[in-house]
Amino acid sequence: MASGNREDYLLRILRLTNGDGIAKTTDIAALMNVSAASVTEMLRILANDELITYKKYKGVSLTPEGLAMAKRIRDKHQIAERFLMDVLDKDQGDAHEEACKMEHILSDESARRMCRIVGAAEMSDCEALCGSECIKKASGIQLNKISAGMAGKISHLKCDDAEKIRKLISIGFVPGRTISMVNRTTSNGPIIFRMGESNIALDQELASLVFVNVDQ
Amino acid sequence: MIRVTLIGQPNAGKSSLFTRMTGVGVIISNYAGTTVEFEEATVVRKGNEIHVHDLPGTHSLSGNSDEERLVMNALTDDTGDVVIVVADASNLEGSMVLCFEAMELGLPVILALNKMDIASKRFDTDVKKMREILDIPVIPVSARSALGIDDLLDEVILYEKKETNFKVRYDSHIEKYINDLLFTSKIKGFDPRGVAVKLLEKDTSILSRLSDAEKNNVNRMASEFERTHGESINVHIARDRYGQAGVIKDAVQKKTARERTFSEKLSDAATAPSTGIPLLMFVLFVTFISFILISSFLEDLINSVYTSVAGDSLKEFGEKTGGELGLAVMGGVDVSIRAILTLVIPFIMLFYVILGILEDSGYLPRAVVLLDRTMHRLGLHGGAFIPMMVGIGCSVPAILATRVVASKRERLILSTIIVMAIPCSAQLAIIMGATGKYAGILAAFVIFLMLSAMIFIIGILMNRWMKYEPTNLAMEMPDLVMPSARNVAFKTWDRCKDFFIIAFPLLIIGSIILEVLLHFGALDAVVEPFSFITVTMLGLPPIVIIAFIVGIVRKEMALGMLFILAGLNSTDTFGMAGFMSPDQFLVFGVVMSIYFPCLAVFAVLWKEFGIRNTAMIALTSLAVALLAGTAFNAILSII
Repeated sequence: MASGNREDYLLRILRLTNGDGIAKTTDIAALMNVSAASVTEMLRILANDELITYKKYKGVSLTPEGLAMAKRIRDKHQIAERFLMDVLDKDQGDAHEEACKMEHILSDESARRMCRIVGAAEMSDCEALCGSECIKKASGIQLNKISAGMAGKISHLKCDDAEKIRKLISIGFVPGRTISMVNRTTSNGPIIFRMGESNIALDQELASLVFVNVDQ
Repeated sequence: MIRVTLIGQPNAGKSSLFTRMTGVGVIISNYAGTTVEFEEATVVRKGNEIHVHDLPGTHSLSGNSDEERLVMNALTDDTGDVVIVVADASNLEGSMVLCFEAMELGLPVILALNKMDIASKRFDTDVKKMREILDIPVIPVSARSALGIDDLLDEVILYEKKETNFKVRYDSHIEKYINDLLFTSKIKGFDPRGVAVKLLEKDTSILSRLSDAEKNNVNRMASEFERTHGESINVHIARDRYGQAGVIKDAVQKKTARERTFSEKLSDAATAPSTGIPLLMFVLFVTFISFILISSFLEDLINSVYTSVAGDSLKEFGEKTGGELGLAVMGGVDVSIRAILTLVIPFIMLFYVILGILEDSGYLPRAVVLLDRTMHRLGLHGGAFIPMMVGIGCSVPAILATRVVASKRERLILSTIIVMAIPCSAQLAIIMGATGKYAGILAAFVIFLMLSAMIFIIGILMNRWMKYEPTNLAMEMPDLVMPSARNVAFKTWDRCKDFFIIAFPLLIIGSIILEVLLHFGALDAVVEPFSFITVTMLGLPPIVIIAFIVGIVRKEMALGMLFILAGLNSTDTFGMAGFMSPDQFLVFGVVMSIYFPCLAVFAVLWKEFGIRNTAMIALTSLAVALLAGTAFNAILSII
C-alpha cells in the first residue's frame, strides 16, 4: 500500500499546486488528514525519488516527472470511473469509490484500452495517459437535436453562464436523470420534455445546453 | 401559538393547502407562480392557536431566483416552529429534493404529501415506508378533497423536533469538503452540514457572511472539484440529491397499470405542432365570442330586472323627502346602483369567471409555450402571456405576476404593455358597455385592433431601446384538470368585491357632489377650464372631463360617472344615446382604453419600478391616449 499512499500524496499536491505552484506542508497535512510530521517524512521520500522538490519552511512543488505521474493517476481515476458508470452501469457514488482504488493498480495499457471503449469525455483530459492517440468523443447530444419519442440519460450541462446552469438544475435538468422528448411545439419554439412525472417546456437555447446519452 | 411555514415547489398546491388549513381564501390557480406575496392566517385547533405562513413556490433553497432568495431570507429571519414541505405526491422527485434541502438545513420539517387523490390513481404509495426512510413525519393530504388536513394540523400540534437519521450522502470528496467547512458554517437555527452544502453551492446570501479567506477556501474547493470531476460542484450536488430522490421514489411508489386518460391525450394535443395552434385559436375565439354574447345578454337581463324590481321608487322617495334636490340626488344614487350592477356583473365578473376557468384548467401554460416565439419579437418570452391575461382582469395583480419574467428589463416592457395596451376589466366594460353599445360592436372592434397593434408597437420599440438581456423559457406543464366551480366562484368574488365595496360608495358620493354642483349652477365653472382638451381636441361634451378625472381614481368609475352625467341632462333612465353621438362614444372609448393608470396601478408601479419609470409610463399613456383620441376625432370628422 506504500506506493498507493505515495500516489495519493502526489495527487493531493497536484490538486494544491494546480501543476506549477507551491503547496504548503500544513495544507497537505490538512487535506490528507494526518500530522505534519508524517507529511514531512513522506515528502522526503518523494523528494528522494525526484518526484517533488522540497524546500524547508516553504513547501513543495512537483518536478516534471512528478507532474506527469500525478496526471497519469488522475486520468486513470477518471477513466476507471467513467468505465464503471457507462459500461458496467454502476452508480456514480460506488463508481467513484472504486475508481479511487483502481487508480493505483490499473496499468497504463489497461487504462488506455478502457479509454478507447468509453471514449474520452469532452471535458476530461486524458492526454497524460493517452497522448494524442485518443480520439475525444463528445459524450451525448444536445437535447434540442433529439426527436420526439426518444429517451435517454442526461450526461452533462454545458454553458459558461453559471446562472443558466443553476436555473436548469433547479428545475430538474440534472445529470443522471432519465428524460424523454414529448413533442416539439412551433418551429424553433420550445420543446416539451418528460422527466419523472412532469412535463417541462424548455426553449431551444436552454435545451441546447443539456447533453443526453440517447438509449439505443 | 405555533408558527408554521409552508414551503414547496411551484404548483405543488401550497395555497390550496393554506386555504384548507386556515379557511382563509387566497387566489389559487393551476400554474406555477400564482403566489408572489406572503400570505398569513391563524387557525385554532383543539385549543391551539396555529399561525400559518404561506411562501411563494421555489424549486430549491439555493437562492437561484428572487423567490428562492425571498424564501431563504424568510427562513433565516425566523424558522418558526414547524416547516411544512408541501410535496406533489403525483410528482415526487422534485418535491423530495426540496425536502432534502430543508432537512439538511436542520429545519423542523413535516412532509405533506399533497395531491394524494391524483397520485393514488397512478401509484401505490407506501407512506409508512417513506416515514421510515426519511425519519420525519409524513402526512398524505389532498387539499382538493380535504383528505388528511386534520391529521396534518394534529401533527403540527404534536410536533417535537428531533434529529433525523436520514441524510443525502454526497460524493466522498464533497463529504470531505463539508467536514472541512463545518466550523465555518455557523448560522443560528441551521444545521452546520446544511449550511456547508449551501456554501459549496455558492449560495450568495450565506457566502456573504464569510471572511475573504474563508470565501477563498470555498472557491478553491469548488474549482478543485470541477477540475477533478469535470463537472461543477453544484451540478454534482444536485445529481446526488436527485439520485437519492429517485431511489426513494422507486422504493415507496409502485406504478399502477392504467390507460392514458383523456386529459393526458388532450394535454399532448394542446402543444403538438399540428393541433396546438388551431386549439389555441379555438380557445381564444370561444373565449372572446362567449364574452361578447353572454355580456350583452346579462346586461339586458340585469337592466330589466332592476327596472321591474326597483323602478322609479328611489327617485320618488327622493322627491317626496327632498323636493327637487332630493329627486336629483336620489336620481344619482339610482343611476349609480344601475351602473355598478350593469358594469360589474356582465363585464367584469364574467371576465373573471372565464379567466378563472382558464387558470384552473391548466391550459394557460400551454398557450405560453405556443406563443413563446411571438413574444420574443417583443423582447419577452412566452411566460409574459399569463400576466397579460391576468391584466385583462386588473393591472395590479398582473404587474405583480410579471415577476415570472426574470429580468427587470422584461418586467418593465411587460408592465408598460399591461398598463397601456391591455384593457383591464373596467376598461373592457367601457369598450363594450359604452362604445360597443352606443357606437356599434364594430367600433369596439376597432379599439381592440388598435390595442393589439399597440402591444406590438410598445414591445418592439422598448425592445430596441433597452439593453438586451435575454432570458429563457422553462416552464412546467401542469396536468389539465376540470376547474372546480367553487374555486372559480371564490376567485371571481374575491377579485370583484372591491367594485362593490369601494367603487360603489365612491360613485354614489361622486354623483351626489355632482347633483349638488349642478343644482347650484357651479358645474360649468369646474368643467370649462378643460374644454380645450374635451371639446377642441377630442370633440366631446365638456362635462366628460369629470369622467376622465374620476377615471384616474378607478377606471370603472369613469363609465359609472358617464352614466350619471348623461342622466343629468336627460329624463330618460340613462340617456346615453342622446348624450353623445356614436363617433363621440368611439373617441371616448379610445381615450379611456389607453388613459392614465388608476391610483392602485400607479402605486404598484411605483413600488415595483420606482417613481421615475412610473411617471414616465403614466405620462406617456396620458399623452398617447389624448393623441389617439384627437386623431380618431380628426379622422371621424373628415369621414
